[in-house]
Amino acid sequence: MFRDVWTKTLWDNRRSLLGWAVGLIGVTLVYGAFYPYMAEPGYADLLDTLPQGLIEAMGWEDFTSAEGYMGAAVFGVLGQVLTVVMAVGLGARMIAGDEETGGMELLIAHPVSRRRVVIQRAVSLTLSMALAGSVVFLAVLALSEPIDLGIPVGNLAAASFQMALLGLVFGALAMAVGGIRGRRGLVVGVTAAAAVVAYLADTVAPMVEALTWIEDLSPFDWYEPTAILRDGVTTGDALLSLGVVVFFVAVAAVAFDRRDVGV
Amino acid sequence: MADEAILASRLTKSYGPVLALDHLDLEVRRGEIFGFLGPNGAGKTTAIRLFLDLLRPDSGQVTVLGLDPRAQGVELRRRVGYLPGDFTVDGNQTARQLLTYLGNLRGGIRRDRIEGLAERLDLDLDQKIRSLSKGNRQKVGLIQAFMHEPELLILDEPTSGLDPLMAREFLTMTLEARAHGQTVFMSSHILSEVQKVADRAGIIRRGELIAVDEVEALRAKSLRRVEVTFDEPVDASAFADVRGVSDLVVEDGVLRCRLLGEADALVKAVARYRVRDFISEEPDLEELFFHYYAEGTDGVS
Ligand SMILES: Nc1ncnc2c1ncn2[C@@H]1O[C@H](COP(=O)(O)OP(=O)(O)O)[C@@H](O)[C@H]1O
Ligand SMILES: [Mg+2]
Repeated sequence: MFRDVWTKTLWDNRRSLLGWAVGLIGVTLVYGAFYPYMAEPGYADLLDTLPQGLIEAMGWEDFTSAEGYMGAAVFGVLGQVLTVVMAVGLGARMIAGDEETGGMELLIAHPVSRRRVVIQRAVSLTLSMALAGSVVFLAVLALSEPIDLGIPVGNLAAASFQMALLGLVFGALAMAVGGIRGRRGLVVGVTAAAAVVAYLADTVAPMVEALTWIEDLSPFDWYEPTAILRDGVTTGDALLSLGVVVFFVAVAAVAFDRRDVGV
Repeated sequence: MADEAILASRLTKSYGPVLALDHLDLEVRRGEIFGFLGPNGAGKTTAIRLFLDLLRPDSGQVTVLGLDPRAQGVELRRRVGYLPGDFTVDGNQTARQLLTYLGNLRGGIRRDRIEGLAERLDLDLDQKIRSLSKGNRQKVGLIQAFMHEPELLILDEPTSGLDPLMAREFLTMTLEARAHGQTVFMSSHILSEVQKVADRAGIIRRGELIAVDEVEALRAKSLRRVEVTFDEPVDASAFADVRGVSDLVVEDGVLRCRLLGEADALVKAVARYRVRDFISEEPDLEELFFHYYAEGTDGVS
């Protein structure tokens, strides 16, 4: 039935992928459906009463425009958290999780090299995140007419793509940590901590004048949904994210190739 | 091409402070069935995982089928069938799905080959692995090791979880493999199991190889506990000089002793009386170690 590690891995994760797809579609539809209410004038007044810092931190500066609302709601905190959590969960399973449950030992006792296994698993992770981005895109697209969103289709696709890419960066980080140490709990802990720090670096650090440079190092800074929805893909950010993904996968492959498996 | 199926020299491996394998020298010849005997924790699994490049040695060398596990691992594993000591896989698939996939990783295995093995071992291929008993899961593991008819089978405690009937079927499979020119390397902590099929056995304890011997020789050196219950009073002196008997105690019509090697003399001696029960325990590996240790220290052979 399956000839390759990457197809088999996708199939093995089918339940989890289906769950995430349903969750992402649900969140997108529910949040998207609220847009028409936000566009009413009363909410702009309400927002004016909130502290400016909070509004900036949450990305609510422009809550009443279509790009501002979708960028903060669907493609904002909640979408990002879901995508990153999904990617970290999958990425942790690709090496460390499979190693802890015994599957990895059997796989690499077959005539496949460890590097090949890591790369095929990375392909599988990438396709899983592409699936996540696609379902978000399709859900927003389906809503676009009914809620009178008025955002170009290309920009919706760009935001979905870059949100998936944000997840992929942390999924690849989880693979890199798993390549170094085959403990799933450790991988999830380290990667989640890195994601929280990166998130704070993007949201809190800019409030302190001296720390603004830190923001540039955060993958969350490479993804600005409202700007993408307004002007399309931010090519430099996307390429930077892809480069980091490739780097993490390379670290995973090299590290995993060098160590003992299943200890 | 090296003549040995496995050739290890001064192979050493520790897990942090735990020294699991201590300068292991081992030679497994092509075409033989080799038993790798040792109690739990002796280092059998560690050695096997080193052969397959799952672990990397701290020092020492090993070649498998003349290949270096690290540099030529893919080629090596193509020619080896491996049963892990703890065969666990994603339970959310049928045995057939798993075996087909694993076969595909080897370039494809004929369907009837998998089905033939499943039939022999009485395994239903279309059940989800999750719903299989431990013994049936072990059969899946055996099939994936045997299905591509590898030159070398490396089997870590292959009979664990199998019922006696299936364990016997498995032993027959190893004999057939040998008849096909395949080499079988199997670990076990049960002497009698290895004795049934192996040509030679190595005995490992606390990471050290204590002895390698022909299985016949091991049998002659193995000590077992025997307990015989008589229906009539017997006297210890009647058994004191029986060949192989030591630590003899007779009380209340029950004889307890240790027996070295074959049972013939003792059986004939007890047969002169009315015997109600005769219990002969599995030979004790520990006892065998002491035998070899003693031999090593007094220089007797
Ligand atoms: N992953 C591990 N971490 C630490 N110690 C281990 C690990 N695996 C095995 N050991 C220790 O190494 C020794 C040899 O273990 P093992 O090779 O599994 O023996 P066997 O297969 O003969 O039962 C034992 O003392 C065991 O506790
Ligand atoms: Mg073991």
